[in-house]
Amino acid sequence: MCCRIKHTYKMKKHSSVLLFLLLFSVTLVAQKKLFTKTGLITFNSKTSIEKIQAVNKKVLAVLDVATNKIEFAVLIKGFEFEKALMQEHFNENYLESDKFPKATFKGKFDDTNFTILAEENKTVTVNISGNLTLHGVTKPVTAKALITTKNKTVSAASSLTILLSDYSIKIPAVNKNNVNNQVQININLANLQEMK
Amino acid sequence: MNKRIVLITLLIILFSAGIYIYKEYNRKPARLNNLPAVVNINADTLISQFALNEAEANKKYLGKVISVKGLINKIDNQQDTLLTILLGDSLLSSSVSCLMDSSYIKLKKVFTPGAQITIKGICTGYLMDVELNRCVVE
Repeated sequence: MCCRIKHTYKMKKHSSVLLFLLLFSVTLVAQKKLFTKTGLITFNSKTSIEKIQAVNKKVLAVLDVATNKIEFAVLIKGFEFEKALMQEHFNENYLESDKFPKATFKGKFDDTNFTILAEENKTVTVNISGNLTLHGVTKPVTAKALITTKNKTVSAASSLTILLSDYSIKIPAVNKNNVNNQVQININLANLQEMK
Repeated sequence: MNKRIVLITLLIILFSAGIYIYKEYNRKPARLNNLPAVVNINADTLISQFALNEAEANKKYLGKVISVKGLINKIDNQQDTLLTILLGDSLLSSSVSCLMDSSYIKLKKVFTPGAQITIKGICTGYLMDVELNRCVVE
């Protein structure tokens, strides 16, 4: 008799600990802010004459799981090209990085349930909409993103296509055939960390 | 005779112009080892200048080769593809974030947190940290 009481007492204690852990982990997920300072953005612009490609390895991104918000910031001078001349033209003539040193994106995930972040080896597709500010011009953009959990890390990837003319980035007449008005941007955020 | 000289000179000019254009078109971004720093500055001073007045600091440092002296507060090596060394007082919320030249990953040079170091890089601006690119150790 005495043993049975002890046993049920133990069980109760056990389940309350479990309940506590469960609740605690749920709130953890709900309040989580994930971020990286080393996100990757590459862009491609192709014409029959020339292929322009650049990479920026220092993208700052914050993903707020509680409010479904996402923010990016990237320094224009941090884009690296294979050819120095392209990089100089990109900074001086096209993006005018002395005047507009940053590009930013502020947006929201649409109706996303982030319980996936607590699970292993999952991938979900989410819709993102928000405002992209580039070259001093702000325009609404939408994109699809993939969020993946693997080996206890969260990563995200997305790509979108923008038109240079939307952001008043002018292509000089001489380069009309070398530079495409349409540019594809790829974003890769690996190993997002929890913000403390 | 005169015509021949003119023709040869023209050819030489055209040829050298061609070489110049070809070289200029294929020029790679300069390695920082051989470029002198425009400014020598302490990491904490640089951070506070950006934190206090970003626009002013941008005017001074954006796109320039600068040499920054400070204490290593963190080393971030991501899967041996991206090596970042953070400089400055670890109690401050920002650091000077030095993205090292890719050659440093191959070198496997050992960096120790807490050690003093001088790093030269191109200042690309300020996000959460002051960002330097293509960095080399001085």
